Amino acid sequence: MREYKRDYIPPTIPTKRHVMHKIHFSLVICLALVSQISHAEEKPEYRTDANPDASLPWYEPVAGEFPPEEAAHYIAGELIAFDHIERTLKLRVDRQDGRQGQDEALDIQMLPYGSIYYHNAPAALRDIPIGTHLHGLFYIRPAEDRYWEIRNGKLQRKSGKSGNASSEVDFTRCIRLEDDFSFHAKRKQFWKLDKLELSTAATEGEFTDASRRIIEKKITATLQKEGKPFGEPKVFDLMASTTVYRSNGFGAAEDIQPGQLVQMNLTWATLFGPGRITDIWLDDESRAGAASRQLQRHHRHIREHGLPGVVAAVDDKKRIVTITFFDSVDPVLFDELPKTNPKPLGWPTKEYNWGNVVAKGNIIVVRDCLMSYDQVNDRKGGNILRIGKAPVQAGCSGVQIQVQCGILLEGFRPNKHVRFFPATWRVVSLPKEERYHGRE
Amino acid sequence: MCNRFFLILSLSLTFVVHGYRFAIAEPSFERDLKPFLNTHCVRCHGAKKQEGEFRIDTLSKEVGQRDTPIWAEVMERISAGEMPPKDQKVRPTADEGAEIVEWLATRIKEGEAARMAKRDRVSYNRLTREEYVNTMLDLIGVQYDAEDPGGLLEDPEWNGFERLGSVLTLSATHVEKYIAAAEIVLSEAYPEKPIEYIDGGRRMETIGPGHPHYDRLAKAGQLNKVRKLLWASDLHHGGSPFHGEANYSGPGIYEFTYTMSGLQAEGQAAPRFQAYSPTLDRVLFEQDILAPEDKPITVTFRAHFPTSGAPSIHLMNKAGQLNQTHRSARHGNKPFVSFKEERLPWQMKIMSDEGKPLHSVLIMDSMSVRGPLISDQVKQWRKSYMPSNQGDGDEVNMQLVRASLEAMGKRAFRRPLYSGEIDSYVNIVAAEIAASEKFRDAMKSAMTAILCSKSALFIAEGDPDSDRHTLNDWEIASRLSYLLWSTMPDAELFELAEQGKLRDRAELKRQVARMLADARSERFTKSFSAQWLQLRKVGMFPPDKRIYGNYDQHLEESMIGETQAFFKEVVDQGLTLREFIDSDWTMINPRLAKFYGIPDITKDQFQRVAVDRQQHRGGLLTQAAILSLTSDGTRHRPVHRGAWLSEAIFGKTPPPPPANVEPIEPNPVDSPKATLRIKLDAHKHHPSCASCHKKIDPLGFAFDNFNAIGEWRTHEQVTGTGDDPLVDASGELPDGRTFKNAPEFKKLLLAELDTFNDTFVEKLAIYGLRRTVTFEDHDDLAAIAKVGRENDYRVKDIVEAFVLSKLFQKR
Repeated sequence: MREYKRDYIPPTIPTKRHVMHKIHFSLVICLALVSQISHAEEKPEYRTDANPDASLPWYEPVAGEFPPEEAAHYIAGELIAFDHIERTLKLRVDRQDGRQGQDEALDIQMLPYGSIYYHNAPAALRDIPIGTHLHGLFYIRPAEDRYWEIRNGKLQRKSGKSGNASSEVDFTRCIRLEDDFSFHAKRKQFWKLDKLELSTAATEGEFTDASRRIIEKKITATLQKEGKPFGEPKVFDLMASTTVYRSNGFGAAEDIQPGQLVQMNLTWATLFGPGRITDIWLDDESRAGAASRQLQRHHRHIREHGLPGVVAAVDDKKRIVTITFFDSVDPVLFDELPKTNPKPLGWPTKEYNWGNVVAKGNIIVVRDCLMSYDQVNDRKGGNILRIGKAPVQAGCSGVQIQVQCGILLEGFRPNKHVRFFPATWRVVSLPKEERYHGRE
Repeated sequence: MCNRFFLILSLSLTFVVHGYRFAIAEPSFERDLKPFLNTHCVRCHGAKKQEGEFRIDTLSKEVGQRDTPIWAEVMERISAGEMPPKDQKVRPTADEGAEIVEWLATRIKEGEAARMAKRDRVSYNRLTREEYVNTMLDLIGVQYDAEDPGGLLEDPEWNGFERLGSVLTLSATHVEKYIAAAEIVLSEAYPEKPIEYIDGGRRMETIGPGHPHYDRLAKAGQLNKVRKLLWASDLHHGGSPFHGEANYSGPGIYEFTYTMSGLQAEGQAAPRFQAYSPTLDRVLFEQDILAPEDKPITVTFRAHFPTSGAPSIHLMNKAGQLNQTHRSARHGNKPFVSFKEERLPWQMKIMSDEGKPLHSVLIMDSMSVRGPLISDQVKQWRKSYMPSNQGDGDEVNMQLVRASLEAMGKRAFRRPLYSGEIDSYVNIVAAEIAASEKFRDAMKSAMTAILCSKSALFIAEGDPDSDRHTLNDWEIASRLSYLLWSTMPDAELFELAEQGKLRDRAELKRQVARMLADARSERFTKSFSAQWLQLRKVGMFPPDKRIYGNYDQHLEESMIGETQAFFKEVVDQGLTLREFIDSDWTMINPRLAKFYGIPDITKDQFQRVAVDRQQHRGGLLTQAAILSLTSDGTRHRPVHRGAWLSEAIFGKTPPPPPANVEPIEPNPVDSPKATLRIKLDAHKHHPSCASCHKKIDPLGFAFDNFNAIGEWRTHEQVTGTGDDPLVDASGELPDGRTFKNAPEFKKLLLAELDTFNDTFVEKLAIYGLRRTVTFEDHDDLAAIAKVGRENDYRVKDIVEAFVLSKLFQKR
């Protein structure tokens, strides 16, 4: 796996001037990134945003391999629907050329190792409100399912396809999804508020004065990185519904002052962008508080659903299962693997060293969307023989364990996905809609 | 020669002899017992003084014949060391006491045997349960399931033998059960409505349109390729092929065919197909199945169903134990077609990533049934017993009734009918008709009476009006048939009896050869070996699962099967008694091969395989069944092994242990580990034990390298501290000869082949004559043993010699 470092560009605010077609949009992004590829001399065997050589194919994920991150295609857009159990979502792709209504939204499937960040912390899809503007990295879907194909050197609809799909529509497999807060914070970028502007325009606006005149508030902000401006200034809508976070609580619109370094989450960005501000965090304390709350929320989610991973190997004879964990969780949780629980875990783990206080755990088979069947009854496990390392790369946490089981399940095969409960975690029964058992 | 003499002398003189031993001087009360009584007993229990109000000098001198309970009490007191009292100045030595105890025990046992062998003018020997079943099958073609719940009672046994007339008594319960059995047999032979012959089958698993995978399978053309997986301990309730065109039509014998594959996991028992009927609580069939997934095989078996309603059949895979209670051992919604397709991820993993089975599984395809199967011969028998053209309301033709009942009576009684003997049965028909019963029911009442009569249920020998000491031809036919086939004589034997040819030695010889060559002779090899060797005791104390986790029902049956198959092989192949002591081969099936650690045995039948010293097997004495039958479920018991060997090989039963002997406690967990043998060493130091145990224990110690279920070991696993102790299988016989282990002990036994020959002849005689043997049989038994010796101890020749002997023709 090649090491590939780059910073993502901020969500573009396209205009009719530079947005002609989605493929051109991608092209622009890709061209902008070329200079930032650290290994530019290595020509990839696949097309990337940084190397938009149309003669190269896009990279397709391979079962059992973590894909190269640089091969993913960047798309931003707005979350308009999701099924958090199936880990599928619809994304209205960024576009402000007046044709937003004509594009079909992208149908996205989170890859098993795909990670989601919200408020600068790991998240489940259910944590993100509909309408949130997101940034993502995507891989193309299998050729037989695609809408577009390259014919005569041009991107053209495949025979039999109709409708008005975006050129991004084939990028359906997502490895990472982030809200604006997370996206910029991870890259140490902030919005610097240039100015606040009150308008008396009677068309749109959220704030009203004492005379109940409709007024409009706009914020002009420029991205900053390491204290320097990064990109063009942009104008956002500040609404009465905008939640202002300040210190360890809420702030008021009056607390927003020019010169502040803030993070914002947006909506309405893909229609009449740059977008409306749903939330704004004015200081470090408020941002840390938001991240902390989200982190705890996700910890709870993982403790109830288990650590996701992929079966790297199985020794059928010794009944040893090797699991590589995904990077979609807080790494702190891996510290709990070696912890022991003096209370017996029950028969699923009793085959080996029953009663001994050693590191143990239960493995749960899951579907590719990480949905389990009936985790209380399906769990099988035993002693953790080894906690080792695997190469860290996109999707992979670098943590690998070996578990000796009393009995193996069909789902304990290489490249199959599982979740793991360390001995100190209680395996609880999930609500019926989160159990796939009986629907096979 | 000298050694041999001493061995025989010591065993013969000191062990109790039940029945008769050939070379023993006639016992004498005056010579053998009286001096002891005068020295140690009479002073306190004589004419002048009666301590405890007991006088010994007035007891009958016919020890074993009279005053037996009192003599038994005397023996017990001496044996326990209570008498003479410890404060007496003159007390017998331990050997003197033991000698007297053994003398008394021998007389008591002889008396018991003589009483059991006592014959009136007519001897009535009730058919055993096995013989009754076989007889019904050959009489009227109905398989009576005597071992099913509510069937016949289990037969009592005496020293392993189940067919002794004096033991097989008759109670009111027996009579009730015989009547019920006869009614069942007759209702099947003559059903109210005709039972239609059916022939049909279906796939084991069928997927209907409502199934969630129906469309997918239909599209893939796999609807008729769905199979049923059965992993170890898995149970499929829908194993009955009685369905649709093959709907069950009534009681009878049906033939079943099942098609399946069987994949064996490395290190595990082979997949074992078992068909079980919960309706009858009976295993119908079981067999190991080894067949690739894409090359299924068929198995066919016959089973009898007595029920009027369709019986359910469960199919199981009996390959070992697998926890079936968890979710992963469920079949799920997704039908199984092939291991090439993924099963549900939460299901137990059966096929490894390399395509090797992780669990021994059966893959069931289809099943079919045909029947009931009734041969032409059976149809003819049934027709001859029941007038066919007699309708209800017609005037009854009593001549036909008489002829029919005579036809049945002659075969059921296994002899010509006495004049007027059938009249009472004809009268039953007449009375039933007069009471407005239907004709067939009236006939069945009379038939029930025939089947429950003493002439049918008992093998009668002798005449009520005269003292006849030899058998007539009809009685010889029955004795021979029940000896070798455990059933009534066939047409040829009846014909020879009628012609009076069964006293002709040449004809008898021909018949023995014919009958041993017939498949039914397996009943003799199985039944006689089981009774002689007391195989009924195998598993009597089920081995502790915590200690012997590999022991299961299949292993137990395989153990017994080995010994029975071994006996059959010796008979069939014309081998000698030496093979029973030691051999370089044995008969094993795959389950036993796994137990013995013998590789590459896959065919599920008992087969002859060569064994070498490294495998520690050969002969009867190191077979798992023999080594197991004396265990108590947790430990081997050397003393019981010694006593069994003494009984089965030397024909001598050691005297019973004194009352209130403390059992040997398990080794304390906080004490150094010690073998059972070390604990038994106490016998050496306790005078009242030593005299007997020094003769019994070494016979058992020789097999100390085998644990309670017959597994080879070098160390004895016991509780306690330290390492498990090494096994010591050495010993010293009473005559001073020593051995280091079982093979050396077997060599010593081989030097005593004549003693074994005598025992074998005696056991065979008890089995064949259905009575114990006594001093009166001495010459006849010796004559048979002589023929055996002259024929190099060939077992087949000994069996033939027994049939040709004078003894065989005597009552």
